[in-house]
Amino acid sequence: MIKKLIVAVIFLTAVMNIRANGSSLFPEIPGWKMQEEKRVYNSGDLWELINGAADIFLSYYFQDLHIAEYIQKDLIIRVELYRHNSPANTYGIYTAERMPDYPQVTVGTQGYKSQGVLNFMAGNYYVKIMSAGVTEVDENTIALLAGKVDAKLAQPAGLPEETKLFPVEGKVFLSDNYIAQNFLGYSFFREAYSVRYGEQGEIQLFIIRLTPDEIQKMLDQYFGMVKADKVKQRDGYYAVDDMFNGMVFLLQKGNSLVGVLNTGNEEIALGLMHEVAGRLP
Amino acid sequence: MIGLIKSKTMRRKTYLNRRGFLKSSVIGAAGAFISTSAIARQPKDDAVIIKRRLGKTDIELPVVSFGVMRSDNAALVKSAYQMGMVHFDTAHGYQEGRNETMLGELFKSVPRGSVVIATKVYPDDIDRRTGEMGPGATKESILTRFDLSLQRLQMKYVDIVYFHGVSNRNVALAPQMLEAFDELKKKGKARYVGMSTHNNESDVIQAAIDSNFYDVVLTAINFKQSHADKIKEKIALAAEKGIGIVAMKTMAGGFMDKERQHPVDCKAALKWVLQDTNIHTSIPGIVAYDQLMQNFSVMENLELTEEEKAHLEEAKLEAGLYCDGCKECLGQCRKHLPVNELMRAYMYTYGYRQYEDAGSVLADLGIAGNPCGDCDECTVNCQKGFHVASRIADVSRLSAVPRDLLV
Repeated sequence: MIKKLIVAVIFLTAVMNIRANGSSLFPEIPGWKMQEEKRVYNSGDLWELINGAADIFLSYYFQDLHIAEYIQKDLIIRVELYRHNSPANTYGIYTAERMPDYPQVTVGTQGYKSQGVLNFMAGNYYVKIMSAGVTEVDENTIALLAGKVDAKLAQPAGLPEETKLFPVEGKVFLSDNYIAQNFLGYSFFREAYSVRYGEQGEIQLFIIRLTPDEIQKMLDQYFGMVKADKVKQRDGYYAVDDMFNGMVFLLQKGNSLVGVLNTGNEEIALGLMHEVAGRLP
Repeated sequence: MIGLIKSKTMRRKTYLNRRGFLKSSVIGAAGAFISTSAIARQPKDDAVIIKRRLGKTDIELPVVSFGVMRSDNAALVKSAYQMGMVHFDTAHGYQEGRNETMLGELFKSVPRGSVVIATKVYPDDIDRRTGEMGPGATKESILTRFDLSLQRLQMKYVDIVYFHGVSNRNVALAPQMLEAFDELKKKGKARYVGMSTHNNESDVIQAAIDSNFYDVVLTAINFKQSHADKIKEKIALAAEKGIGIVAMKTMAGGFMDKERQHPVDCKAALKWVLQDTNIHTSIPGIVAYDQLMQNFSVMENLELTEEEKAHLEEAKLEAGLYCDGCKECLGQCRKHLPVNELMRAYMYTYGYRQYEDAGSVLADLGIAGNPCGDCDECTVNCQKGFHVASRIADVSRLSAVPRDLLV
């Protein structure tokens, strides 16, 4: 009997952790019946719900997805809470899906809406709210619900600090993003914040902030890949003739790597890089 | 008759071949600047690229195409095109439409006939978990979504439009869906119509065969699936009927483990799929240039090396530890237990250590204690050979633990 008890205790100890807050992530809304889905999707089975669209979520370290529906007669609103492992990665997936020409909304850190849909990011959560029934729910109701979901999640507000390093002048509206993996198509480039400039948004300015050793390793891999004769060291920066990405200008400062591509104008590139470098601590 | 067609040139002569591409200096809006140093890393320019005809369609494709799931590197897609990839696959829902928008911007300046574009749409009011349609899943909802896709793609037509994510026969053959896709074809907005499936694939492919309507099937197929043989049987039947077969999920998720620490040998996995000549092309997702180069090498040689064979064997064994959701067990239990769901809970518990998720599954199913405890003989014949009764007995112990204590 005692042996059985010990086995049971070991088993329970192995599977249990005390969860500080076991309450729902979804707010109750007067007049609406909230039905929370018991199934929670994770990185192993997100594709079962959203098919091939899951790939990009996984590249931003998707953790889990909680879903609920709010029902009032023939009206249904579906709320999906995609949780990522950090606000940076939430920002990454949100900006990967954000349509710059859709109307912006002030909920969470940032959001936008289109017909019957409101998406926003808040801390570790990328929230998608949509009218899901045959009769479309009006946008005010969706906006109201979005505010309550945001309040319930109580996530820290604000874009990643790195986004503040970019010059405002000439910046293309909502062109900022974050690429967690395979930046510029190279597996060794990662965690890059970027913004576009220029009339056509053709110039891309980016910054990667890691440790100085990691930055150096990244550069070594890059220079090894493009071959030494394609890397020109200038006064405090590099000009790289990249076979795939064109001329890439790079400036290293401490734990940061600043870069510009898609402009053959070295003066412009240098100006942008120095502006960012000047804002670095 | 499915022919294996080999060609010495990838792209029509009017467009850049790989050598021409590599020698060119600037490739337009994406800004890729190509130096001759890249040539050394390319497959030999006179290499024979394996191409196959897509069923009865007039489309002939290299065996590897491009699954475009991300829009953050247009230069990569453009490079693939310039090097000779022809077929690019997107979907209405990828990145809330940004994926289609990126392809539209990228390809608006190239001759339309030089690319084969596929997109996928699904109707309103379809339960994405079960695949079942509600009353709002109308013909009009397909037509409206598809028109938006065309607008984003900046094209008058797509080469293939897929009914996205079909998981059962009834949905595949739903009259309003067939009407909608038929109308797209008749109006010249889609050259061919297909279905995509990654769940219950065998039944869906059979429905495509029976429909006499679908031109193409895009199916999940990979070495890890326990029901791969069954899918391949149906693929053979469909190919014989002239249905084009496109393979997806060929990399089996890309990793052996949920923590994504043990990568699958993607080259081996892709070769394994393409050795079946009934599969005409594949659409692996490509996010980096090394993957692109690797895929080009697969186009030229599908033979598995001894090392690749060994990797696949090992990976298969590892995959064999857990349920891959083939659902062949459904209906076999005399107590009508949802065995596949219980195997999923087992995988969460013993594979991923995700006790909360496992607890949720059990609670959802109303499991309290061992549901197999009073059954003396198990009638379930698992495709993977699991002794399901003992697995259920093991995992059902979690039902005794309050859910709010599980994390």
